[in-house]
Amino acid sequence: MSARNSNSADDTRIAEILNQIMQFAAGDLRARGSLKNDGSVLDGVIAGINILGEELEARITQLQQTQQETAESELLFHSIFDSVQDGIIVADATTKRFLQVNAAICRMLGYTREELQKLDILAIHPPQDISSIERIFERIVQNELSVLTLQMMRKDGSVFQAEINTSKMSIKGVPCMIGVFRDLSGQLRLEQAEELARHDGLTGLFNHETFKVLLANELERIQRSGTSVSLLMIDIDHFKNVNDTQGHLAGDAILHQIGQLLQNSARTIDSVCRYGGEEITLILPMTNSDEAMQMAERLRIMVEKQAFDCSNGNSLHITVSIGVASYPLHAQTLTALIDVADAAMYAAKHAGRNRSCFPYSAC
Amino acid sequence: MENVQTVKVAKVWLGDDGIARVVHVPDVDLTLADAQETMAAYSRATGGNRCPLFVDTRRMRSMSRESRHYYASAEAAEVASAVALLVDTPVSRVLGNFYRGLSNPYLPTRVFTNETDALAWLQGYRA
Repeated sequence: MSARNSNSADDTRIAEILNQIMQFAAGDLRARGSLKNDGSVLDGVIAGINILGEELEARITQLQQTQQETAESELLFHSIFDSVQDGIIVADATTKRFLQVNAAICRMLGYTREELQKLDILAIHPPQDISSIERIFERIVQNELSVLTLQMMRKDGSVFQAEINTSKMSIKGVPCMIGVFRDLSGQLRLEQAEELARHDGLTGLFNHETFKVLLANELERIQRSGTSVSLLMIDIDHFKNVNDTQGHLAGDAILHQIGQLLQNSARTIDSVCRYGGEEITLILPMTNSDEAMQMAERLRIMVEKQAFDCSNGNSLHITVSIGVASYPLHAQTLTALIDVADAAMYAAKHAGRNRSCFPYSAC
Repeated sequence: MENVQTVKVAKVWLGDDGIARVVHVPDVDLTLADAQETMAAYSRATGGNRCPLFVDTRRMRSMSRESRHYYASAEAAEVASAVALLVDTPVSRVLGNFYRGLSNPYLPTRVFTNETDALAWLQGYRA
């Protein structure tokens, strides 16, 4: 090859090399130069550039794959983050400002995401709790607390109780607190509703249905333990007359006061129930017939001595008739126990009222 | 010269001096499969023993990325006590120096343009 041709061939190869480099610079790393294997320096340069292209292409592919995996991971995180029912807040542990909030906490507090992300931890609690919230926050940061129940404040100023689970972690080098919030309002309302369903609205005592359940439970218990239970069936004497002379509001007021008197005088293990109308029962666990009679008489005397407010400016003295029955002495089933206590109460009425009676015996 | 193994891209044997040799055929474009075949031949030639390794790359035209990384892997590094690469053309110099850059830092590796110097250096790594 002549010197001129050789130079021309080299120029061509140099141009190809430059073109390959320009393609790399434009982002196309697939360009490869062809080797003549003629032992020339240009061949070596091309081999080196080809290797450079291969290595860069492989590393960029790996980087793109990692970025794709990261993007998918973030998408999955955000899907879960915004679909859970509990509220989640990620806050800067130093400034207490919110970094991320999920859809559930926004609904819970009544803010949009944009509004909430401008706030900090102190803004979502009642103002009067601020100093204690700051102390609590420090305790969480010091790992002294992780689960707690706090009052939260919505955007409209209304307050509710929430259970909060906290954890700490560093995110992109920033120490953060993560709080998972569960609104307890619904749970509390359910508990309140359940409680209301067990109680009589007027007197606050256990209602008729609850009485039967409590008595059945007690009978089941003593069948295992071999002890006894007694039942007092209490009826207000001349209650119809009270309603007729003082009015039904007075009757309700007196019923309420008698219920409270009996409740406050009973032992903590006893259950005071409104059986119906003007009848009140007391379930006395671990109480034999003699002890039950003593209790009946004590209560009867307390009622007799009490002046009851009719809520119309008048007050009245009321008496009660009490039937006293014990299991297993007087009856061996729940129904029988109630029946004999009821019969004993009627016996007390027929014997003159304002007294306590056992079944099948003179009062 | 013991146990000479011939594969598609090279001849492999254990010299009387205890130095294993891999001499590539001219104009070879080395693939991963070629590299694996050559490594298997090396193991047969050396009986699985670690030896100093002399590799003649002077006529090699190219190596795939996979084959470069395979030769530079920990698995390959375990079978040799040292590696001397003989180069002469600019292409083989580039390949040899790139391999040296990739190779295990605990595997002594040098690039030579002279066979005598290469073998002399490897003598110091015989068992």
